[in-house]
Amino acid sequence: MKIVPFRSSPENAVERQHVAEVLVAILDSLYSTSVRMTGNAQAAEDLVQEASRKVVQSARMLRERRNIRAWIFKVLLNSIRDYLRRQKLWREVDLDAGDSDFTVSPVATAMHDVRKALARLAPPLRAVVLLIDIEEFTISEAAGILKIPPGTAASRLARAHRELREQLGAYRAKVPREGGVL
Amino acid sequence: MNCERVRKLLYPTPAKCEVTVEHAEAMAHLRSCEACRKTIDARADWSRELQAGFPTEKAPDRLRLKIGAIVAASRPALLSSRVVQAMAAAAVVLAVLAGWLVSRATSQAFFRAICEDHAKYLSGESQLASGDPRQLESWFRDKTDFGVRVPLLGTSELLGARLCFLKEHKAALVFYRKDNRPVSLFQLNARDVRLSGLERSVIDGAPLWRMSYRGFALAAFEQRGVLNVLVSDLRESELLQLASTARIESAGY
Repeated sequence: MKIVPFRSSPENAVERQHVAEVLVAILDSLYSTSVRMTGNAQAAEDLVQEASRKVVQSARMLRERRNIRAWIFKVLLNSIRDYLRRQKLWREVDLDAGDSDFTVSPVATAMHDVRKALARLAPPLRAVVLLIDIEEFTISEAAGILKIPPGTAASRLARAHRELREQLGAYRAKVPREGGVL
Repeated sequence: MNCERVRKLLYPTPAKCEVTVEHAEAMAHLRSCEACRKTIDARADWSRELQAGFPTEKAPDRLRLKIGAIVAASRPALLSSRVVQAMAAAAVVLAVLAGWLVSRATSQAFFRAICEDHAKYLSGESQLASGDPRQLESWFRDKTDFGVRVPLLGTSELLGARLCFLKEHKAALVFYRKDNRPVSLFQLNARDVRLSGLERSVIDGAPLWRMSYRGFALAAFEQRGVLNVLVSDLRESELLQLASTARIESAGY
Protein backbone atom coordinates (compact mmCIF):
# COMPACT_ATOMS: atom_id res chain seq x y z
CA MET A 1 0.00 0.00 0.00
CA LYS A 2 1.50 3.31 -1.07
CA ILE A 3 1.29 6.21 1.30
CA VAL A 4 2.05 9.88 0.78
CA PRO A 5 2.53 12.75 3.25
CA PHE A 6 -0.64 14.22 4.66
CA ARG A 7 -2.47 16.69 2.49
CA SER A 8 -5.59 18.23 3.96
CA SER A 9 -8.39 18.14 1.45
CA PRO A 10 -12.03 17.13 1.21
CA GLU A 11 -10.81 13.90 -0.45
CA ASN A 12 -9.00 13.00 2.80
CA ALA A 13 -12.21 13.49 4.72
CA VAL A 14 -14.09 11.14 2.40
CA GLU A 15 -11.22 8.62 2.63
CA ARG A 16 -11.31 8.54 6.41
CA GLN A 17 -15.06 8.05 6.43
CA HIS A 18 -14.75 5.23 3.90
CA VAL A 19 -12.01 3.52 5.93
CA ALA A 20 -14.13 3.82 9.08
CA GLU A 21 -17.04 2.16 7.29
CA VAL A 22 -14.84 -0.76 6.16
CA LEU A 23 -13.37 -1.05 9.66
CA VAL A 24 -16.79 -1.41 11.27
CA ALA A 25 -17.92 -3.86 8.57
CA ILE A 26 -15.00 -6.26 9.17
CA LEU A 27 -14.80 -5.85 12.93
CA ASP A 28 -15.89 -9.45 13.61
CA SER A 29 -13.19 -10.81 11.27
CA LEU A 30 -10.56 -8.65 12.93
CA TYR A 31 -11.63 -9.78 16.37
CA SER A 32 -11.71 -13.45 15.32
CA THR A 33 -8.21 -13.26 13.84
CA SER A 34 -6.92 -11.46 16.91
CA VAL A 35 -8.41 -14.07 19.29
CA ARG A 36 -6.99 -16.96 17.23
CA MET A 37 -3.58 -15.36 17.04
CA THR A 38 -3.30 -14.47 20.72
CA GLY A 39 -5.55 -17.05 22.39
CA ASN A 40 -6.50 -14.28 24.80
CA ALA A 41 -9.87 -12.56 24.45
CA GLN A 42 -8.92 -9.46 26.44
CA ALA A 43 -5.62 -9.02 24.61
CA ALA A 44 -7.47 -9.56 21.32
CA GLU A 45 -9.91 -6.77 22.17
CA ASP A 46 -7.11 -4.43 23.15
CA LEU A 47 -5.18 -5.17 19.96
CA VAL A 48 -8.22 -4.61 17.73
CA GLN A 49 -8.88 -1.36 19.54
CA GLU A 50 -5.26 -0.26 19.15
CA ALA A 51 -5.23 -1.19 15.47
CA SER A 52 -8.55 0.57 14.87
CA ARG A 53 -7.20 3.76 16.36
CA LYS A 54 -4.11 3.55 14.12
CA VAL A 55 -6.27 2.84 11.09
CA VAL A 56 -8.54 5.82 11.68
CA GLN A 57 -5.59 8.10 12.39
CA SER A 58 -3.64 6.88 9.35
CA ALA A 59 -6.57 6.92 6.94
CA ARG A 60 -5.57 10.39 5.76
CA MET A 61 -2.24 8.90 4.56
CA LEU A 62 -3.97 6.34 2.40
CA ARG A 63 -3.50 7.00 -1.29
CA GLU A 64 -5.20 4.00 -2.81
CA ARG A 65 -8.75 3.08 -1.99
CA ARG A 66 -8.17 -0.44 -3.27
CA ASN A 67 -7.98 -3.27 -0.78
CA ILE A 68 -8.55 -1.25 2.36
CA ARG A 69 -9.48 -4.52 4.08
CA ALA A 70 -5.96 -5.90 3.49
CA TRP A 71 -4.45 -2.65 4.78
CA ILE A 72 -6.52 -2.84 7.99
CA PHE A 73 -5.46 -6.47 8.51
CA LYS A 74 -1.86 -5.41 7.99
CA VAL A 75 -2.15 -2.82 10.76
CA LEU A 76 -3.77 -5.42 13.04
CA LEU A 77 -1.15 -8.12 12.32
CA ASN A 78 1.60 -5.59 13.08
CA SER A 79 0.05 -4.99 16.49
CA ILE A 80 -0.43 -8.70 17.08
CA ARG A 81 3.18 -9.48 16.12
CA ASP A 82 4.47 -6.77 18.46
CA TYR A 83 2.28 -8.15 21.25
CA LEU A 84 3.43 -11.73 20.72
CA ARG A 85 7.06 -10.63 20.59
CA ARG A 86 6.63 -8.88 23.92
CA GLN A 87 5.13 -12.11 25.24
CA LYS A 88 8.08 -13.99 23.65
CA LEU A 89 5.60 -16.08 21.66
CA TRP A 90 6.58 -14.92 18.17
CA ARG A 91 9.55 -16.49 16.45
CA GLU A 92 10.24 -16.43 12.75
CA VAL A 93 9.88 -19.89 11.22
CA ASP A 94 12.85 -21.80 9.85
CA LEU A 95 11.30 -23.32 6.76
CA ASP A 96 14.12 -25.81 6.38
CA ALA A 97 13.66 -27.17 9.86
CA GLY A 98 11.69 -30.32 10.54
CA ASP A 99 8.20 -30.38 12.04
CA SER A 100 9.48 -30.99 15.53
CA ASP A 101 11.35 -27.69 15.50
CA PHE A 102 8.41 -25.32 15.30
CA THR A 103 7.32 -23.24 18.26
CA VAL A 104 4.38 -24.69 20.12
CA SER A 105 2.13 -21.99 21.44
CA PRO A 106 1.15 -22.28 25.09
CA VAL A 107 -2.33 -21.39 23.86
CA ALA A 108 -2.71 -24.99 22.78
CA THR A 109 -3.75 -27.29 25.56
CA ALA A 110 -5.03 -30.27 23.63
CA MET A 111 -5.72 -31.48 20.12
CA HIS A 112 -9.42 -32.07 20.39
CA ASP A 113 -10.26 -30.29 17.20
CA VAL A 114 -9.00 -28.21 14.39
CA ARG A 115 -8.94 -25.10 16.57
CA LYS A 116 -6.51 -26.71 18.97
CA ALA A 117 -4.41 -27.91 16.06
CA LEU A 118 -4.23 -24.40 14.68
CA ALA A 119 -3.36 -23.03 18.11
CA ARG A 120 -0.38 -25.38 18.19
CA LEU A 121 1.09 -23.83 15.05
CA ALA A 122 3.83 -21.28 15.43
CA PRO A 123 2.30 -17.79 15.14
CA PRO A 124 3.90 -17.02 11.72
CA LEU A 125 2.37 -20.24 10.33
CA ARG A 126 -0.95 -19.64 12.06
CA ALA A 127 -1.09 -16.16 10.56
CA VAL A 128 -0.88 -17.42 6.96
CA VAL A 129 -3.58 -20.03 7.57
CA LEU A 130 -5.88 -17.46 9.14
CA LEU A 131 -5.30 -14.97 6.38
CA ILE A 132 -5.39 -17.30 3.36
CA ASP A 133 -7.66 -20.17 4.41
CA ILE A 134 -10.02 -18.39 6.79
CA GLU A 135 -10.07 -14.78 5.58
CA GLU A 136 -9.53 -15.81 1.93
CA PHE A 137 -6.74 -13.41 1.13
CA THR A 138 -4.50 -14.39 -1.78
CA ILE A 139 -0.87 -15.36 -1.33
CA SER A 140 0.19 -11.90 -2.55
CA GLU A 141 -2.20 -10.09 -0.20
CA ALA A 142 -1.13 -12.19 2.78
CA ALA A 143 2.51 -11.56 1.90
CA GLY A 144 1.80 -7.82 1.87
CA ILE A 145 -0.01 -7.98 5.20
CA LEU A 146 2.79 -9.94 6.85
CA LYS A 147 5.53 -8.01 5.06
CA ILE A 148 7.17 -11.15 3.66
CA PRO A 149 7.87 -12.27 0.06
CA PRO A 150 5.00 -14.15 -1.67
CA GLY A 151 7.19 -17.24 -2.00
CA THR A 152 7.73 -17.25 1.75
CA ALA A 153 4.00 -16.91 2.35
CA ALA A 154 3.32 -19.90 0.08
CA SER A 155 6.03 -21.95 1.79
CA ARG A 156 4.68 -21.10 5.23
CA LEU A 157 1.18 -22.07 4.15
CA ALA A 158 2.41 -25.42 2.82
CA ARG A 159 4.33 -25.99 6.04
CA ALA A 160 1.29 -25.07 8.13
CA HIS A 161 -0.93 -27.41 6.12
CA ARG A 162 1.56 -30.22 6.57
CA GLU A 163 1.71 -29.73 10.33
CA LEU A 164 -2.05 -29.48 10.61
CA ARG A 165 -2.40 -32.63 8.58
CA GLU A 166 -0.14 -34.50 10.93
CA GLN A 167 -1.95 -33.25 13.99
CA LEU A 168 -5.47 -33.83 12.77
CA GLY A 169 -5.92 -37.55 12.56
CA ALA A 170 -9.66 -37.16 12.25
CA TYR A 171 -9.22 -34.90 9.25
CA ARG A 172 -6.37 -36.80 7.72
CA ALA A 173 -8.52 -38.44 5.10
CA LYS A 174 -9.64 -35.03 3.87
CA VAL A 175 -6.23 -33.41 3.85
CA PRO A 176 -4.50 -33.64 0.48
CA ARG A 177 -1.19 -35.43 0.72
CA GLU A 178 1.35 -33.86 -1.55
CA GLY A 179 4.66 -35.41 -0.83
CA GLY A 180 7.57 -33.31 -1.96
CA VAL A 181 5.54 -30.30 -3.06
CA LEU A 182 6.86 -27.07 -1.52
CA MET B 1 5.53 -28.43 -17.45
CA ASN B 2 5.12 -31.43 -15.14
CA CYS B 3 2.41 -31.98 -12.51
CA GLU B 4 4.67 -31.24 -9.55
CA ARG B 5 5.62 -27.85 -11.00
CA VAL B 6 2.01 -27.01 -11.81
CA ARG B 7 0.80 -27.88 -8.30
CA LYS B 8 3.54 -25.73 -6.80
CA LEU B 9 2.80 -22.77 -9.08
CA LEU B 10 -0.92 -22.92 -8.35
CA TYR B 11 -0.51 -23.32 -4.59
CA PRO B 12 -2.86 -23.39 -2.77
CA THR B 13 -5.47 -22.80 -5.50
CA PRO B 14 -5.53 -20.91 -8.82
CA ALA B 15 -7.66 -18.20 -7.18
CA LYS B 16 -5.23 -17.53 -4.33
CA CYS B 17 -1.84 -18.38 -5.82
CA GLU B 18 0.77 -15.83 -6.76
CA VAL B 19 0.41 -14.98 -10.43
CA THR B 20 3.67 -15.38 -12.32
CA VAL B 21 4.67 -15.53 -15.99
CA GLU B 22 4.17 -19.29 -15.85
CA HIS B 23 0.60 -18.98 -14.61
CA ALA B 24 -1.07 -19.29 -18.01
CA GLU B 25 0.92 -22.40 -18.89
CA ALA B 26 0.11 -23.97 -15.51
CA MET B 27 -3.59 -23.24 -15.99
CA ALA B 28 -3.46 -24.84 -19.43
CA HIS B 29 -1.89 -27.95 -17.87
CA LEU B 30 -4.57 -27.98 -15.16
CA ARG B 31 -7.35 -28.00 -17.74
CA SER B 32 -5.87 -31.06 -19.39
CA CYS B 33 -4.70 -32.96 -16.27
CA GLU B 34 -7.34 -34.70 -14.18
CA ALA B 35 -4.86 -35.68 -11.44
CA CYS B 36 -3.83 -32.06 -10.90
CA ARG B 37 -7.46 -30.95 -10.89
CA LYS B 38 -8.22 -33.49 -8.16
CA THR B 39 -5.29 -32.23 -6.10
CA ILE B 40 -6.43 -28.63 -6.46
CA ASP B 41 -10.01 -29.60 -5.62
CA ALA B 42 -8.76 -31.44 -2.51
CA ARG B 43 -6.88 -28.30 -1.43
CA ALA B 44 -10.04 -26.21 -1.87
CA ASP B 45 -12.00 -28.77 0.16
CA TRP B 46 -9.36 -28.63 2.88
CA SER B 47 -9.56 -24.85 2.95
CA ARG B 48 -13.35 -25.05 3.24
CA GLU B 49 -13.01 -27.57 6.07
CA LEU B 50 -10.74 -25.16 7.90
CA GLN B 51 -13.16 -22.31 7.33
CA ALA B 52 -16.01 -24.44 8.68
CA GLY B 53 -13.94 -25.05 11.79
CA PHE B 54 -13.44 -21.33 12.30
CA PRO B 55 -16.75 -19.51 11.99
CA THR B 56 -16.31 -15.78 12.41
CA GLU B 57 -16.65 -14.89 16.05
CA LYS B 58 -18.83 -11.94 16.92
CA ALA B 59 -16.93 -9.07 18.45
CA PRO B 60 -18.12 -8.24 21.98
CA ASP B 61 -20.53 -5.33 22.22
CA ARG B 62 -18.13 -3.40 24.43
CA LEU B 63 -15.47 -3.63 21.69
CA ARG B 64 -18.04 -2.54 19.12
CA LEU B 65 -18.84 0.48 21.29
CA LYS B 66 -15.16 1.32 21.70
CA ILE B 67 -14.56 1.17 17.94
CA GLY B 68 -17.68 3.26 17.39
CA ALA B 69 -16.23 5.84 19.78
CA ILE B 70 -12.92 5.85 17.91
CA VAL B 71 -14.71 6.40 14.61
CA ALA B 72 -16.96 9.06 16.13
CA ALA B 73 -13.95 10.80 17.67
CA SER B 74 -12.47 11.18 14.21
CA ARG B 75 -15.58 13.00 12.97
CA PRO B 76 -15.10 16.21 15.01
CA ALA B 77 -11.66 16.41 13.40
CA LEU B 78 -13.35 16.29 10.02
CA LEU B 79 -15.88 18.83 11.16
CA SER B 80 -13.25 21.17 12.58
CA SER B 81 -11.26 20.76 9.39
CA ARG B 82 -14.28 21.92 7.43
CA VAL B 83 -14.93 24.74 9.88
CA VAL B 84 -11.30 25.85 9.56
CA GLN B 85 -11.62 25.83 5.78
CA ALA B 86 -14.85 27.82 5.97
CA MET B 87 -13.26 30.28 8.39
CA ALA B 88 -10.25 30.67 6.12
CA ALA B 89 -12.54 31.35 3.17
CA ALA B 90 -14.54 33.85 5.23
CA ALA B 91 -11.31 35.54 6.35
CA VAL B 92 -10.22 35.93 2.73
CA VAL B 93 -13.62 37.40 1.80
CA LEU B 94 -13.49 39.77 4.79
CA ALA B 95 -9.92 40.80 3.97
CA VAL B 96 -10.88 41.55 0.37
CA LEU B 97 -13.98 43.42 1.54
CA ALA B 98 -11.99 45.40 4.12
CA GLY B 99 -9.35 46.22 1.51
CA TRP B 100 -12.02 47.39 -0.89
CA LEU B 101 -13.69 49.53 1.80
CA VAL B 102 -10.38 51.14 2.81
CA SER B 103 -9.49 51.73 -0.83
CA ARG B 104 -12.93 53.25 -1.45
CA ALA B 105 -12.71 55.49 1.62
CA THR B 106 -9.22 56.67 0.66
CA SER B 107 -10.34 57.34 -2.88
CA GLN B 108 -13.42 59.29 -1.75
CA ALA B 109 -11.30 61.38 0.60
CA PHE B 110 -8.95 62.23 -2.24
CA PHE B 111 -11.73 63.37 -4.57
CA ARG B 112 -13.39 65.37 -1.78
CA ALA B 113 -10.06 67.12 -1.36
CA ILE B 114 -10.15 67.93 -5.08
CA CYS B 115 -13.60 69.47 -4.66
CA GLU B 116 -12.30 71.51 -1.71
CA ASP B 117 -9.31 72.64 -3.77
CA HIS B 118 -11.69 73.74 -6.51
CA ALA B 119 -13.51 75.88 -3.94
CA LYS B 120 -10.20 77.14 -2.57
CA TYR B 121 -8.98 78.33 -5.96
CA LEU B 122 -12.29 79.93 -6.97
CA SER B 123 -10.90 83.31 -6.08
CA GLY B 124 -7.30 82.33 -6.63
CA GLU B 125 -5.33 83.74 -9.46
CA SER B 126 -3.82 81.72 -12.25
CA GLN B 127 -0.06 81.48 -12.25
CA LEU B 128 -0.33 81.85 -16.00
CA ALA B 129 -3.41 83.60 -17.38
CA SER B 130 -3.89 82.54 -20.98
CA GLY B 131 -6.59 81.32 -23.32
CA ASP B 132 -4.02 79.53 -25.48
CA PRO B 133 -3.86 75.78 -24.74
CA ARG B 134 -0.37 75.39 -26.30
CA GLN B 135 1.08 78.18 -24.19
CA LEU B 136 -0.32 76.65 -21.04
CA GLU B 137 1.02 73.20 -21.97
CA SER B 138 4.46 74.70 -22.60
CA TRP B 139 4.36 76.37 -19.24
CA PHE B 140 3.63 73.06 -17.50
CA ARG B 141 6.50 71.31 -19.29
CA ASP B 142 9.29 70.45 -16.79
CA LYS B 143 6.88 71.21 -13.93
CA THR B 144 5.09 67.83 -13.87
CA ASP B 145 6.12 64.21 -14.40
CA PHE B 146 3.38 63.70 -16.97
CA GLY B 147 2.42 65.48 -20.16
CA VAL B 148 -0.25 68.11 -19.55
CA ARG B 149 -2.83 68.39 -22.33
CA VAL B 150 -5.14 71.43 -22.15
CA PRO B 151 -8.33 70.72 -24.08
CA LEU B 152 -10.81 73.28 -25.36
CA LEU B 153 -14.19 72.60 -23.83
CA GLY B 154 -16.73 73.66 -26.43
CA THR B 155 -18.10 77.08 -25.57
CA SER B 156 -16.22 77.22 -22.26
CA GLU B 157 -13.71 80.00 -21.84
CA LEU B 158 -10.13 78.99 -21.05
CA LEU B 159 -8.80 81.32 -18.36
CA GLY B 160 -5.39 80.09 -17.29
CA ALA B 161 -3.60 77.50 -15.16
CA ARG B 162 -1.49 76.87 -12.10
CA LEU B 163 0.30 74.06 -10.30
CA CYS B 164 -1.19 72.61 -7.16
CA PHE B 165 -0.62 69.76 -4.76
CA LEU B 166 -3.29 67.23 -3.96
CA LYS B 167 -2.39 65.02 -1.00
CA GLU B 168 1.28 65.41 -1.90
CA HIS B 169 0.65 64.65 -5.57
CA LYS B 170 1.68 67.34 -8.01
CA ALA B 171 -1.24 68.29 -10.27
CA ALA B 172 -1.95 70.71 -13.09
CA LEU B 173 -4.99 72.91 -12.50
CA VAL B 174 -6.63 74.56 -15.51
CA PHE B 175 -9.37 77.15 -15.10
CA TYR B 176 -12.39 77.50 -17.37
CA ARG B 177 -15.60 79.39 -17.22
CA LYS B 178 -18.87 78.11 -18.65
CA ASP B 179 -22.12 80.01 -18.43
CA ASN B 180 -20.43 82.28 -15.95
CA ARG B 181 -19.66 79.32 -13.68
CA PRO B 182 -16.08 78.38 -12.79
CA VAL B 183 -14.88 74.97 -13.96
CA SER B 184 -11.62 73.41 -12.78
CA LEU B 185 -9.73 70.71 -14.63
CA PHE B 186 -7.20 68.86 -12.49
CA GLN B 187 -4.65 66.63 -14.24
CA LEU B 188 -2.35 64.28 -12.38
CA ASN B 189 -0.53 61.03 -12.83
CA ALA B 190 -3.18 58.28 -12.95
CA ARG B 191 -0.96 55.77 -11.13
CA ASP B 192 -1.20 57.84 -7.95
CA VAL B 193 -4.97 57.62 -7.67
CA ARG B 194 -7.65 54.93 -7.34
CA LEU B 195 -11.09 55.58 -8.75
CA SER B 196 -12.91 53.13 -6.44
CA GLY B 197 -14.51 56.00 -4.48
CA LEU B 198 -16.40 57.24 -7.54
CA GLU B 199 -19.44 55.96 -9.38
CA ARG B 200 -18.78 54.63 -12.84
CA SER B 201 -20.83 55.67 -15.85
CA VAL B 202 -20.44 55.04 -19.54
CA ILE B 203 -21.00 57.96 -21.89
CA ASP B 204 -20.55 57.64 -25.64
CA GLY B 205 -19.12 54.15 -25.09
CA ALA B 206 -16.33 55.29 -22.77
CA PRO B 207 -16.17 55.14 -18.98
CA LEU B 208 -16.49 58.24 -16.86
CA TRP B 209 -16.41 58.40 -13.07
CA ARG B 210 -18.49 60.87 -11.07
CA MET B 211 -19.42 62.04 -7.60
CA SER B 212 -21.16 64.95 -5.87
CA TYR B 213 -19.79 66.69 -2.81
CA ARG B 214 -20.99 69.83 -1.01
CA GLY B 215 -22.86 71.13 -4.05
CA PHE B 216 -20.04 70.41 -6.45
CA ALA B 217 -20.18 67.89 -9.25
CA LEU B 218 -17.06 65.96 -10.16
CA ALA B 219 -16.38 63.98 -13.33
CA ALA B 220 -13.21 62.08 -14.08
CA PHE B 221 -11.67 60.09 -16.90
CA GLU B 222 -8.31 58.57 -17.58
CA GLN B 223 -6.37 59.03 -20.76
CA ARG B 224 -2.81 58.04 -21.64
CA GLY B 225 -1.89 57.54 -17.98
CA VAL B 226 -3.20 60.95 -16.95
CA LEU B 227 -6.22 61.34 -14.72
CA ASN B 228 -8.46 64.27 -15.72
CA VAL B 229 -10.86 65.53 -13.06
CA LEU B 230 -13.41 68.22 -13.80
CA VAL B 231 -15.08 70.02 -10.88
CA SER B 232 -17.81 72.62 -11.02
CA ASP B 233 -21.08 73.70 -9.51
CA LEU B 234 -22.70 73.08 -12.88
CA ARG B 235 -25.40 70.43 -13.00
CA GLU B 236 -23.89 67.00 -13.04
CA SER B 237 -25.30 66.23 -16.51
CA GLU B 238 -23.67 69.37 -17.90
CA LEU B 239 -20.37 68.54 -16.28
CA LEU B 240 -20.46 64.98 -17.61
CA GLN B 241 -21.08 66.35 -21.10
CA LEU B 242 -18.15 68.70 -20.61
CA ALA B 243 -15.98 65.79 -19.45
CA SER B 244 -16.98 63.79 -22.50
CA THR B 245 -15.97 66.72 -24.71
CA ALA B 246 -12.67 67.06 -22.86
CA ARG B 247 -11.94 63.38 -23.40
CA ILE B 248 -12.59 63.64 -27.12
CA GLU B 249 -10.48 66.79 -27.35
CA SER B 250 -7.62 65.17 -25.45
CA ALA B 251 -7.80 62.09 -27.62
CA GLY B 252 -7.30 64.28 -30.68
CA TYR B 253 -3.72 65.08 -29.70
